[in-house]
Amino acid sequence: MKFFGLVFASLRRKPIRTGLTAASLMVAFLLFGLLEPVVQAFSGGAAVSSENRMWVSPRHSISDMLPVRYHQQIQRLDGVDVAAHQTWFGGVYIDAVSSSAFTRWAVTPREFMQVNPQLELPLEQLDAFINTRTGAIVSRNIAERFDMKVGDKIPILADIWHNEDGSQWEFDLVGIYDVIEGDSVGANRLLVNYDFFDEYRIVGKGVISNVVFTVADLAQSASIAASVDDMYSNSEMETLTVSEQDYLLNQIKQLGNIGLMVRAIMAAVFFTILLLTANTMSQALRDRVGELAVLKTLGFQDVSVLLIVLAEALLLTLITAGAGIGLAAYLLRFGEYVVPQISHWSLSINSVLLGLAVAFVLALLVGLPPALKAMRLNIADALQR
Amino acid sequence: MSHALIEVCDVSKQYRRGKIAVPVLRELNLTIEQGDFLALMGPSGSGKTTLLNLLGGLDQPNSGTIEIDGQCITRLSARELARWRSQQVGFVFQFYNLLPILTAQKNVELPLLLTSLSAAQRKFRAHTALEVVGLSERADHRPSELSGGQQQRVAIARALVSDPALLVCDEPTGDLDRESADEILGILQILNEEHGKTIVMVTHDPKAAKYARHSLFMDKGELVAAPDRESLPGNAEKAKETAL
Ligand SMILES: Nc1ncnc2c1ncn2[C@@H]1O[C@H](COP(=O)(O)OP(=O)(O)OP(=O)(O)O)[C@@H](O)[C@H]1O
Ligand SMILES: [Mg+2]
Repeated sequence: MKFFGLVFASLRRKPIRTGLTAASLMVAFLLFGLLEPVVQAFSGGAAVSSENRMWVSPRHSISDMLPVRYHQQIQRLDGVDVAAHQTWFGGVYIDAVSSSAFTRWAVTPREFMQVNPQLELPLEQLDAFINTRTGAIVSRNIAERFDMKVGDKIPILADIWHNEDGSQWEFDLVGIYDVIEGDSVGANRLLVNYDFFDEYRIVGKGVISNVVFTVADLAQSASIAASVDDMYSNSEMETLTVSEQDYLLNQIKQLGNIGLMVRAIMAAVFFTILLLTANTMSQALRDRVGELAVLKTLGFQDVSVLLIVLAEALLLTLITAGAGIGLAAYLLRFGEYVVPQISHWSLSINSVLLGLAVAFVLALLVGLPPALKAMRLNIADALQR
Repeated sequence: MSHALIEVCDVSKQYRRGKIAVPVLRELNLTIEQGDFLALMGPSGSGKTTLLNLLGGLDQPNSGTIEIDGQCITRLSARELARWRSQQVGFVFQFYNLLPILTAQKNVELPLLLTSLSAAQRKFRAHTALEVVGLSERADHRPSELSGGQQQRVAIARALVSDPALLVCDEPTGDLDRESADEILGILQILNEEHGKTIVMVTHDPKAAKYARHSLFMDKGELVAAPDRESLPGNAEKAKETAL
């Protein structure tokens, strides 16, 4: 592209003006890059889950617990493939910041790994997890982040579940699992052996947070959920059974339609940027009517002049969009150490593509009017001045 | 041996100011020989630039035809005309009209971007053109780092670089001091005499006109009898008075 040098040079002609425009565009795209994961998270796209996993929870309050016998009873129901259970362990690992990077659960090792086939654990490590009372396994990202290795002792300070010796728990890391892409449930977790946990805790023995089960036939999941809830409808602890997707989505929806709000804010930001940039662009064009007339005089076609002006707008927005989104990705990557809540947020490839598409449309909107004006420019008039 | 390079036939040009048509050129006829160096003089507003723009294919007349080197440019579409300009005409303006963001070298290379020449060939050609105007040492300077005379030399190099047969110059020395003006005019003369370029130059300066082979005088859109060289200054003054 021979004209590229020309396009690039004209961006440098008013460095301050170009710089300011570029800066405001970049900030807009930085904001886009930082907020897009929020939109994704609150649109339910954060955790990708399996459709055939069902969660059984206490019906009325999240602080209630289910009796552990529900697990065996649900396992025996027709249509239930495998049932496992999990109990929120909580506790503190090192400090509050490190602790919030992952969650800790007590689970039934064999069944839990069966209902969560997206968690890949080497067979011998699974055996070790099943057979080691104090065993624990952790997702690879967490292991890498905290430099945990198989054989390490993992100390957890309890905040709910005190044991006979006080609040200090210690687990032996026997496995590190990978999470298959496409189903991220189970990432950022430390899993410990329920039997040891139940034996050693001094209060609330025999209660669990959820039963998680898989159904053999997806079409039956609704009726199976209903029969689970029916079974306990008159018991001391009623249940609510929903698909894992709905469960995660409901948790998010309790926060209101944040995704929409964030999108609205972004739209407002981009609209402002659009007006500002359009203004700058048409001002820039006015300043160089003479130059464009010279190009035409030298024999540049009208269309070439249009493309040159348009290419400037494209180059400016695409470079700044790339820089802004890149910076956002960088901040998200390293920001998790400061704000651990965003540790599972990252820019998806779709968000990046959406950002570039926004940049492209923005370039057309701000670049096309001056480009058309440049194309229609009459040489004799323009040179007259 | 010489033949007509330019044939202007009954050309009229008018500009519209709102609803009123302002006639600028009226049924103008003119023949310019190949290899001529023509100075076009006349009071301000007499239509010199308008005529020059028509000769250079920057604008089209309302009626009449212009034939240049056998090509009737008044029949060309805007697209064809742009192409024709890039190959057949070099332009030099009063205010140089260089692109301030580009170095002298890059400014001179501009017209070559429209050719199929490779980057290396473009560079070489531009360098040669700068050598012709004696400015090859300043190739990497921006226009703002050059004097007016030097900028005009870059502009001449740019007009030359695609090797057109015709150069049109609109008051090329209008913004220059005597010394720089003489330098520029000297270069134009060499281009005419040694490189065979046909040059049409608009000027207000009778001394500049003396570098040309012929002079034509324009008044109110018409060519008037060319006064002989010796009496040019006097005639120019008189013409200015009548124009007022
Ligand atoms: N683009 C235009 N639109 C309207 N009127 C124009 C335009 N260009 C020139 N004119 C008018 O046409 C007439 C001739 O203009 P032109 O520029 O050809 O004169 P000139 O002889 O070159 O004058 P000068 O010596 O001042 O450069 C003037 O009255 C001018 O106002
Ligand atoms: Mg003029």
